[in-house]
Amino acid sequence: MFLQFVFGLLLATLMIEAGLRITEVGRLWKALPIANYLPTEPDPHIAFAHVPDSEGFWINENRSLVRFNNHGLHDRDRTAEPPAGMFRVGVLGDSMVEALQVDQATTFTAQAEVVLEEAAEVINLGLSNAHQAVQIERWRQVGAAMNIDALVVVMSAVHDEGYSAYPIYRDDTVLPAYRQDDAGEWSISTKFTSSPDYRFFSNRLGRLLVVGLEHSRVARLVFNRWKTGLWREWRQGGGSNLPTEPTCKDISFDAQWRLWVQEVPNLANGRLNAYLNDLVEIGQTHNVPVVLLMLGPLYDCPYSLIRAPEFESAVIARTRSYDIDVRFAATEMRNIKPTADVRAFFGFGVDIGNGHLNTPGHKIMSTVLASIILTLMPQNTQIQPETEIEG
Amino acid sequence: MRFDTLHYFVFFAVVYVLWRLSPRGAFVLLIASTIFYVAENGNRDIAVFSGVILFNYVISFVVKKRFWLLIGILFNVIVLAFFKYRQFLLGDTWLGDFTTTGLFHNVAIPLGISFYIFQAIAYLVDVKRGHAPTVSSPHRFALFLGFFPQLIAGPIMRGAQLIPQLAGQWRGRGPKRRLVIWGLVLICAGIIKKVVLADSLAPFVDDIFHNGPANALSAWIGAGLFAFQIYFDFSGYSDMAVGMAYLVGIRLLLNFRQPYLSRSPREFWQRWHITLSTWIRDYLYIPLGGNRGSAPRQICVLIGVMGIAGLWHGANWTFIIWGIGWGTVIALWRWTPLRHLSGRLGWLITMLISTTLWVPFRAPNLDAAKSYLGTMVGFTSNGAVVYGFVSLFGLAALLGLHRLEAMAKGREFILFLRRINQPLWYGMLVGIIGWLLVMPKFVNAPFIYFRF
Repeated sequence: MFLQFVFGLLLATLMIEAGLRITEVGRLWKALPIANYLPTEPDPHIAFAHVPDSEGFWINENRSLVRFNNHGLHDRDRTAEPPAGMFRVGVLGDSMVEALQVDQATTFTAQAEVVLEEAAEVINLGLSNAHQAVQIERWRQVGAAMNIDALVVVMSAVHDEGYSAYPIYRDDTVLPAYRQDDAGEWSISTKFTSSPDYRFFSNRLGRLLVVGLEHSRVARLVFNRWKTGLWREWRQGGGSNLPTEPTCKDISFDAQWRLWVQEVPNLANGRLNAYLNDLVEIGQTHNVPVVLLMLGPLYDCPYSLIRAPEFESAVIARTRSYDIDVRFAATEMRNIKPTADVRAFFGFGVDIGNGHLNTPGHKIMSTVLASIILTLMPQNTQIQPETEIEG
Repeated sequence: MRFDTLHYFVFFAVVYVLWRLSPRGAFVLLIASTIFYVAENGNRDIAVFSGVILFNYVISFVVKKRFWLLIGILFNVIVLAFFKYRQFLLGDTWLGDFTTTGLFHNVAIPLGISFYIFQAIAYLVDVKRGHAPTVSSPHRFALFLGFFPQLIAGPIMRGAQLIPQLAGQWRGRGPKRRLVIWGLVLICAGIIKKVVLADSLAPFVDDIFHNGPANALSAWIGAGLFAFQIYFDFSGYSDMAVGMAYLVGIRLLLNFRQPYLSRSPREFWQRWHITLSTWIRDYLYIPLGGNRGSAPRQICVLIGVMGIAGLWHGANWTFIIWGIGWGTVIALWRWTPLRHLSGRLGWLITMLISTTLWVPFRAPNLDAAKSYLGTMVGFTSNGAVVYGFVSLFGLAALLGLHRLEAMAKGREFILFLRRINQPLWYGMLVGIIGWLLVMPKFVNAPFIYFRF
């Protein structure tokens, strides 16, 4: 009887495996449950990188089929050398740039190429969870070898340390992170290479697990569950019937103000200076202009909108001392579409206003990026960027 | 605890094993029910539930006198009204302010209150009428009112149906033979309905009701998707509740009989949330006159009672409109030539009616409902969500599944289950249930009827 029961469990496992494969067919994956997995492999620069020429599903926030190119970027295939005469721009950043929530053609980097009528190549160097140190290492991992003529670095509020929401940017056992030595000098630490997770996935057993994840949907289910927590629902608790108080607190702006204008907290300020120094070094070493494009703050509240000019002036003054040009995405978006609620360019479905750039958001951001790239391109380039924004 | 979670799966497995081993299964069920309610509810919820149990237990001994029956009903109604409707009913009056500020600020609706209050009222009335036995001890009464599979979202059970079954278990005489596979099939079907179907539909429904449909076709498709979402969600929960109760020796009432196969509005309510509609019929509609009296009187009672049924779902005019809409439609069907409609035409019109009436039920407020309904009939929309013709195939597939479900609960299916009632199939069903619960949820979608 026990053996029959166990055999029944095995049959159920096979049925679930088959069922999950069926849901990936056609467009069923847009609605039905799937076992999502994005192939990754250990990387000595950035801890974990996407596997080149691979694909997977992304189902957080919005569902998309994600393809990684021959360099493991969420981008179309690129050669190491650009076509003759082609101006090549690299765009560094975090998940806002990588944009796994939308397909590659919808990303603002891809749309910027269309806006520029393919007079320039715009390479998406974005990587989810890439805070400042990870971005610099991302450049070293892949960007430096791409013969880039100009670099745009997108800085989103979550990972700029001013927000201080995520401790991962301080923890060099998970990702590269800026650390200060005894002499007070900042440098990027790659201590994560000694972490158990990294060592596990670098050894034979870890590689075997990866093979399992690539070929078995049930393995992905188990892996995803393990990552999110076996008893996740228990820890989350039940839903609340309590009303929520409406507030307008621009947490992002407040943190950014403290960091850029008041230069506190000290450690975050130190990391920011180290980051800016590294950007300068990239620019000098590779002879490329570097532009910082600040995606936040969005000036959500009246009090932050009023103080926006003062904030931006302070940021410009500070970055000028590093010889880095800076632009402000929220302000540029409002210039393009004055009546738009900038928040509406973020989030999907019922979460409009919170989250990553949505389809209209990528559209308007592509115009912002294209206008920046135009200023970086050789002066004899004849392009009129499209400025009609839908929605 | 939500039924579609891994920790509940483990909890139920432990309860089931202990129940099988225990000579008096009812003790295990009582302890399990206590743990179930205490585990994820605050002290206030527990205090309220305990108070309701104690009050109804005590008053049930004197409820044969009409005066005490009225006191009992009044108490239960006041408790429900206070927690669920005080802000809606009292509004900006001084009493409304008093009951929503200070000590009463942020007092949430206790989980399951709509269901256990109705079950308590039914019990008191049935005791008065002699249709149900009085429960002799408080812990037995607590189990009757708090039996965990049906505590949070029904089915609403009558004393005559549940008390004798529990009494048998208190005496150590539970059912000897059960078709275990039937219980597992129900639980498995319920989880598939919830995890695979309802939760998959949820993002599309949320999107269109939040951002508005862009055109009439999208509006109809969105409403149709919600019709199936709420059906799979609620009937999925009910199937799980019935299946779990069955495994521990208790037969609960089925709450759904494929309502979207109905050929008239009246039939719809004989197939949708059956225990609520029969409660409304037996404890509101019939006492208020029912089918007696003149047509205008009957219509008023019908519409009024259905309005109350709508209000039961929540403190919002949208639910009342939904209920009144159904009352109006049922009245129209009864007293106009529409009553001659049957067959496919009757089905189509009933389907269109139920789809339309789901709009105010789902909409967050009356303005949103009006706007959505306006889009359905072709008025201009400011909405952004577009669903194309392809989605119609999806709806057709869901309707096909609905038809299949009707066949799967027939006698032939039960006979088939008897033939395969073996450990191999137990393992398969338990495995499927387990894997579906392992799927990480990226959408936090509690059961819709838990909110009521």
